[in-house]
Amino acid sequence: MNSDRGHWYLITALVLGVSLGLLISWVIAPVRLEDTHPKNLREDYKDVYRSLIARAYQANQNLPRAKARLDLLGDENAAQALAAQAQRSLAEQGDQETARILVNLSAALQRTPAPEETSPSPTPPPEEAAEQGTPPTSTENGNNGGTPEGTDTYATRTPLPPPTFTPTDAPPFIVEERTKLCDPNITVPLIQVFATNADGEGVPGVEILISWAPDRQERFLTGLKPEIGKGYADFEAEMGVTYTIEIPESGLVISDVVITECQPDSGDPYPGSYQIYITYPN
Amino acid sequence: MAQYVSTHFKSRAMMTRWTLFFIVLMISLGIGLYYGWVINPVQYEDTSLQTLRMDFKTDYALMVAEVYKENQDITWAMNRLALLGYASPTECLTEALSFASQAGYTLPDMYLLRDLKNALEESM
Repeated sequence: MNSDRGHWYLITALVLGVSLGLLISWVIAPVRLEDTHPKNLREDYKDVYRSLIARAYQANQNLPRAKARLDLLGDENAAQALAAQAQRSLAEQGDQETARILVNLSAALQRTPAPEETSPSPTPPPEEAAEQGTPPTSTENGNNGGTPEGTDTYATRTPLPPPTFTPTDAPPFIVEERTKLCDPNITVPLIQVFATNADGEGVPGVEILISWAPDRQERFLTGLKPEIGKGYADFEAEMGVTYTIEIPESGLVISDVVITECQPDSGDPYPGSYQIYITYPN
Repeated sequence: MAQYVSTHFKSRAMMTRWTLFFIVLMISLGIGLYYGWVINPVQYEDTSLQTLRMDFKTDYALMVAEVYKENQDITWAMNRLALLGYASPTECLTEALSFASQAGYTLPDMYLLRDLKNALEESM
């Protein structure tokens, strides 16, 4: 090394060392693929995890615990993620029951107001809770089973909330109203179903069977578009086709549903829609 | 003589430069490793349930136990636990129970895990 070259050799060593270090730590010997977080799961595994959370919620009705678990998946909007998964499940001819369970949890999340932020950081998982000297769970009905009180940092078991409403436990639906709709803002012909209970609240998870030929039918559920309403469902229809809507759990059949064009006073005609309101009898 | 002294000092200067070069190289290598392993490690995406951290695996097993308590469907529970990649579902629950006990899980949750483990052992 020529002394006339100044201190460039030190910079060379620095660049070489850092590059070598990054090569080793990122490529040759990266952090091992273990101890991963649920938020890094592949999408299909996230679906498995999410449906398990929904099933566990269905079993224990512990919403705070379900929320804490859903937070781990890092979904921007857990309720919408659940509804979207239910929609995918139905589209792929998946398990109706799973779709219904997902929708129920989605609706339960929307029923409750957002919890107050107690900590800026996400709820610690059990391991961190344990490190903090706090057990990860309390127990059912406030009995903490011998562990210290006030430690519900994760997956809490608060006194059980009222059970989630499931349509199968309810009286049969009746048609409250069916009407043709002309709304220029709706650009595609839609059959919209609104399911409400006696109090006028939307009922999620109501299975709807729509058929338009002996071998052409589709199933969908209310609550898959929580941004519109918990008891809302829609189906993109074709104009001029006669549809039959069925609510299997109630034995309710709504026939002769036909969408026609709407003719405004001025301008071009546009596709109409059809609205069906179903509710529990008082 | 003058030439000898000059060569000697040049040689020593050269040695010092090499030494410095390697010292800086080692320090910067350490910095690179620390950055790559600790500060900004490789982030894995699209991982499977098998690579979950033990606390998450335990919570997963607990969810299965919570559902099993309601549906009593041992085949469903076995299929769900199989996704965690253990040799057997009972091994999975043994590990989960061990972790749960260390992490201070409450008794009802421990009972759920234990009941599922017992049910699995009976079904085999």
